[in-house]
This record gives sequence, C-alpha cells and structure tokens, in this order.
Amino acid sequence: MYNILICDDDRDIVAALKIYLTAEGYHTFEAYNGREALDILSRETVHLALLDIMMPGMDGLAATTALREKSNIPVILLTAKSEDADKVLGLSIGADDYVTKPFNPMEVIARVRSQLRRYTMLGGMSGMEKKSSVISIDGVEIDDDAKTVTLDGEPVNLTPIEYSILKLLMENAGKVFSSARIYELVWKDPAWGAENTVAVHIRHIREKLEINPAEPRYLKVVWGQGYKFEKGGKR
Amino acid sequence: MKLTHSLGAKITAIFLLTLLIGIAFFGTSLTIAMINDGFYSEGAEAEQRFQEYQDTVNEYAWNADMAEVKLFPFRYTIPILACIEWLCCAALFLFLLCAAGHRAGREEVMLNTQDKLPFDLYLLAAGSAVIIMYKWLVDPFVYDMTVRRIEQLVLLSAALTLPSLIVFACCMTFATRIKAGTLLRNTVVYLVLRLCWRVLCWMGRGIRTIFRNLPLLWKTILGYGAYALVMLLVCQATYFSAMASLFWIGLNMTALLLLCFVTLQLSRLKEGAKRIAEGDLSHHVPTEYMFYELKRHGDNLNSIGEGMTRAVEERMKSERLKTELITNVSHDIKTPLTSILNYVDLLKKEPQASETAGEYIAVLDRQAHRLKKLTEDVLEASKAATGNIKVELMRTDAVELLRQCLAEYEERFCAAGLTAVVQTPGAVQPILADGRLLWRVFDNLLGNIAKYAQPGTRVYAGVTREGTDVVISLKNVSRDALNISEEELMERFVRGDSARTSEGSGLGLSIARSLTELQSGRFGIAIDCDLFKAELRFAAAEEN
Repeated sequence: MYNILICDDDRDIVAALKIYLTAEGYHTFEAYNGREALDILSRETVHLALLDIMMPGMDGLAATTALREKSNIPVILLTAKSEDADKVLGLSIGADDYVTKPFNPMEVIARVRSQLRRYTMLGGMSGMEKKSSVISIDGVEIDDDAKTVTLDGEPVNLTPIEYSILKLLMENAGKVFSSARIYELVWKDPAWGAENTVAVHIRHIREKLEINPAEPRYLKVVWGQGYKFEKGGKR
Repeated sequence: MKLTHSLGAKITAIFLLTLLIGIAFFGTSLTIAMINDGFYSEGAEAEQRFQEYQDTVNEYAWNADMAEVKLFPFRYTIPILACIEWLCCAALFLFLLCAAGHRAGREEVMLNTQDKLPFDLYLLAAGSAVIIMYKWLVDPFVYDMTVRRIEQLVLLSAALTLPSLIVFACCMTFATRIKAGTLLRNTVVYLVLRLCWRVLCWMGRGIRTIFRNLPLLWKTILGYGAYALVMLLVCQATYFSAMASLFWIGLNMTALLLLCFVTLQLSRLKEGAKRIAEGDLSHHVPTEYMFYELKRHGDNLNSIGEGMTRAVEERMKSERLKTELITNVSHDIKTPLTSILNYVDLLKKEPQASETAGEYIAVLDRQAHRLKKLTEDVLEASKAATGNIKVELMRTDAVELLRQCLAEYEERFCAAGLTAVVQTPGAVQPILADGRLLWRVFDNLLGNIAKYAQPGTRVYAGVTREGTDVVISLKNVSRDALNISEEELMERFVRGDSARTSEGSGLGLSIARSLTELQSGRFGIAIDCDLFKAELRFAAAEEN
C-alpha cells in the first residue's frame, strides 16, 4: 500500500487522479499548492509525488527543489508546459519523470507503477551483487545467460530477433546504429533492401518495452540516422 | 526725506550759488583791481598817497575816485569776504553734486533731459559756449582792472557768472551720469562704435549662413581658390623675397594642419560607421571638435545607430510578447481540456445509464480528443510560422528517415488497407535537416494518407536525386474527390473534406510547409484528379 501525493491547483484534475489511483489500490493525499504539498510531505509518509508546475504561491519546480533537500522519493511532474526546455528544466532540478497535459490517465498510472517499482527495487537490490552477464540500464535489465529481459522487475516477452537487437543496442548504450548496420550485425547478412524489417522490429520492441511508444524513453529513434538505447540517467 | 532729494533745496541751492558766485567774482575782481592799484603796497608811501586822495575827494566830492577812497579801509576785509563766499560756493557746489540725479521720492538716479544728451556733444556745446562768452564778454574787461572803473568790474563779474553756471551744469550732469553709470555709454563715439560692431556682426552671420549652405564642392573650390590667390598676391607683392617664402611656408603649414585635422575626423567617422554596420548600434561618434559638414555627418550616423537600436528593441519586445502569448494561451487551454478528457474517460468506465448515454459519451470522447489534437496543432502551427522552433541542422539520410517513418505507420496503413511501395536508390542520400522536425512533417503527411487515402490502394514513397537536390515524394489516391486547388488546400484550416466531418484540423499541410521551410527546404503538393502528391526538396549535403 503506497501513499501518493497529488498536487495541482485545479481541483477537478486532482479529483480525477484520485479516482484513478485509488482504483489501482494506492492511498492518496491531496494538495493544491506547493506549500501544502511540502506540509503534507513533512507530516506523512509519502512514496511518490505528482506535482503540477504552474501553481500559485509555490510552484512545482520550487516544491521539487525543496523536496529533494530532504527526500529521494520519485517525483513526476504533471504539467501543460510541454516545451523541450521546460522538460529539461524540470528533470534537471530533480524530477524523475515528466508528463504533459492533457495526459492519458493510463499512461500516468503506468509511470507511477514504474517509478514505484524502481524506488522499492533499488532499496531491495542494494545488497545483491550483479552478475557479469547482466546489463542494467535505467530499470531495463537484460540477462544474457537466462536470455530474459525485465523492466523494473517485470518480465518482457521479446522474440529472438528483437532480443538480439535490444542486446546490441544496450551493449552499446548511447551509440547510434543505422538500420543497415543493425541488419548486418543481427542477421549477419549484407543489408540490401531490408531496412524496413529493422524499422518494424524496432517498433515492436518499443511497443512492448515503453510505457508510451510514441514518446520512447529507452529506445530512441534518431530520425534520419538510426536508433540508439538511451544511456542511463538521461531521458 | 533727504535734503539731497528735495527739489526745493536744489533750486534754493542753485539760486544761492548763482548769487554767491556773482558776488564772489565781484569780490575777487575787486581784490585784483586793488592789487593792481597798489592798495597793498607797503609803507608810508601808500598812506601818503591815500591821504592825497582823501584831500582831493573832500575837495571835489563828485570825483570818480571816490570809490577808491571808500574802499581803502576795506582793503583787507573784501578779500576775506571773497574767500568766505568762495567757500560757501564750494559747499553749495558739493551739495549740488551730491544732489545731482536724485529726485524726491525715488531711490534710483533719474536722468533729466540734459542728462540724456550724448556727453561728448554736450561737452562740445558747453565748451564752445563758454569760450564764446569768454571771448566776447570777459576778455575786453580782464586786462584793465582798476578800482576806478568799478562798474566795469561789476559787468565783468556778471559776465563771468554765466560761463561758470554752464560749467556747473556740466559738472552736475557729469556727476549724474557717473552715478547712473551712463557716462561712457551715452556718448556719440560709443554709439557709433556700437553701430559699426553690430553691422559687422550681421555681415559676419550673413557670410557664415551663405557659406554653410553652399554645397561641399563649392566650399572646397572657394577655399582653395582663396588660398591660391593669397599666395599669388603675396608672391607678386614681395617678388619672392625671403618674407614671401616665410609667408608661403606658414600658409602651407596651416593648410596642411587643416587637411590633417579633416582627415582625422574623416577616419573617426569611418570607424564609427564601420562599428555601426557591424552591429554595435550603441557606438557614439564623438562630434565635438569637427567641422560643420563632418559634424552633421557624424550626427546622422549617431541617429542611425539610435534609430536602429530602437527598432531592434521593439522587434525583440514584440517577439517576446508573441512567445509569451503562445505559451500562456496554450497552457490555459490545456488545463481544462485535461479535466474534460479525464472525466469523459471516467464516465466511459461508469456503468451506463442507458444506451443513448453510452453514445453521447462516445461523442464527447471523440470531440474532446479532436479538441486536444486541434490545440496541439494550433500551437505547433503558430510556433512554426513565427520561427519559434529551434532548428538543429545535421547530416541526415533521407532514405533512412523515410523508412523509419513508414515503419511507424505500418500498422495504421494495414488497418486502412494501404500498401506502401518504397522506391529508393541504393546509396545513402544525405541532406542537411533537423530529424525531429522532418519526422513531424512526415507524421503529418503519412497521417493524412492514412486518413484520406482510398482503401485497397498503394502508396508510393520515394527518394530521388535531381541534380543537386534530393527529392522525397509521397503519392496516394484520394478517397474523396478533391475539387480544390493546391494553394487553397495549403491554407490554414482548409480541409479536403469540405464538410469538415472527419477528424482533422486542416493545419497539417500548413505546419508541414512551415517546418520544411524552417530547414531551408521546399514543400509542394500537386493534385491530379484523384492523385495526391506531396514533395519535399532539399539541397544535397556534401559527401564526407
């Protein structure tokens, strides 16, 4: 039973989120500006905070900064400010995720779940030693011995080709591979007229792995150049 | 009231002065006559002579020498009296001097009529009057002053009184003028000089105005002509002597100095213009020590700089306002839209009250999503149109991009019954583009195809090389007849479906064009009956 703090100056949005989260089995606290949010955080045990940015009094960014001085709970920023600059700012001051309004409630629930898993898993995993065949980036873990892929602890079912592609990209996290190159390395055949296949496979991987395939977080499309697996820490 | 200010006192003083002066002159002339007649000579001789006189007088009572006899006893008192009178005159004179110019009831010095005359004229007139009077009235009597002709002495005194009055008047007016400070200013000489000076100034100003308004070329010609003429004249006049050489050297040095000065100023102007042209609009050309023409040029440069700074600031301000408007408005629209979408979604999950309720909720859901898409499109269109998007141009492979985009739309095409046919050359086709923006363009175009193409047909996507351009084209068969021209379709909010019933905002093509042009590409569509063709043209990037 996790406690989630919902903070937004629009009461209707808070009420809607409360309905969705309680339906998922979480307990919620409500706040309508930054100050109230910090107040609740100091009094109660909260496991995750959903913060709006544009609020009167203290805004979401200031609240995140203040929150980060005392706790490392996951913070998801939920806001209508959708510019890239706003996302970068929000994430660099300490938020863990950024969702723009209007949002898909299912997506928000999925992200909450993912962040909570990550938060609790990190606490649990600190004692275990990592096996050398395991590559873990940002919650996505690929175990070459067992040939399994897990996302925040939950297993993901990939076809062999998809697994090979993901492994290639994760082993070279941050490096951009063109479709032709991926084809050569995975199918072990010279690439000729088969770039489409690679693109389609990558899309399938994205749909299985990402919360929102249209805005991928792990498997990024570098348009006109190829694909890459985002190195840990960046969004 | 001070005594000096009283008119009565002044008049009395003048009157007394006149009287006393006359008497004093009389006494003085009498004294002189007595001296001439030997009244003061020493010794018994005089006494004896006097006794003789006395006897004669007694004998001849009507003798004119009586006056002499009568006066002899008074021969010492008369000079003393005369002195006293002179002293009184002096006192009165001083008093009048002090009173000169003062009037009853006023503090400042007042000028009467005689004070307003120019002083030199006044002096001239007074001087000539005194001299004339002296010549005519006094001169005849002055040489032979004896006691016997006492009546002559009387006339003499009277005659002397007049000039002395004139002298007094002069002194009074002198005193008044000094007190009023108009002594020098009220002279003819001064007035004439002032007039000359004014005329000169006027002439000088006139010449300066004419000179200023001459075109620069004429000024140069006149200046150099004057210089050459002076040189010539001097040489002529002095036959190339040493003096002429010195003068020649001096003149040329001055001319050279002037030229250098002008060149310095020109270079300062050049520097200023260069800085302004480079963009440093706040640079101020120092125009303090420049000649008139160059100063005007410098001032013009300065005002260009200022004008441009102002224009740039205004432009930046309006850009900032535009950006703020876009962000604020979009935020204000998105917030309630979020709630609408959320609650419609919740409604969908609630147990349905009736079947119609379910339909209504479906309509709400559809329209809310459409509103969301429209808001996003409007925001993007305005950002793209005002150039508020940051464009990062990189070497991009057009073929790779096209394949990636088609892969994204594979399922949707399948669902719409469309088959994609890709025609690409084998080699990589690099262009300079921003991958993210180009993806958005294709997102729009492929989305259109998925929505409006005739199901069961093929979609042709290709990349070709035409000269130095790389051309990416998308062709499809339209489901509905397109009775609209290309330009109209590209306009904002114009949709192929004129009934505007299906999904879409009409902004897709407009956004696609703006985004392509932001990357220095060209975007065009062609409609041939039911065939819709979209074409993007980019300059091919160099092979690395």
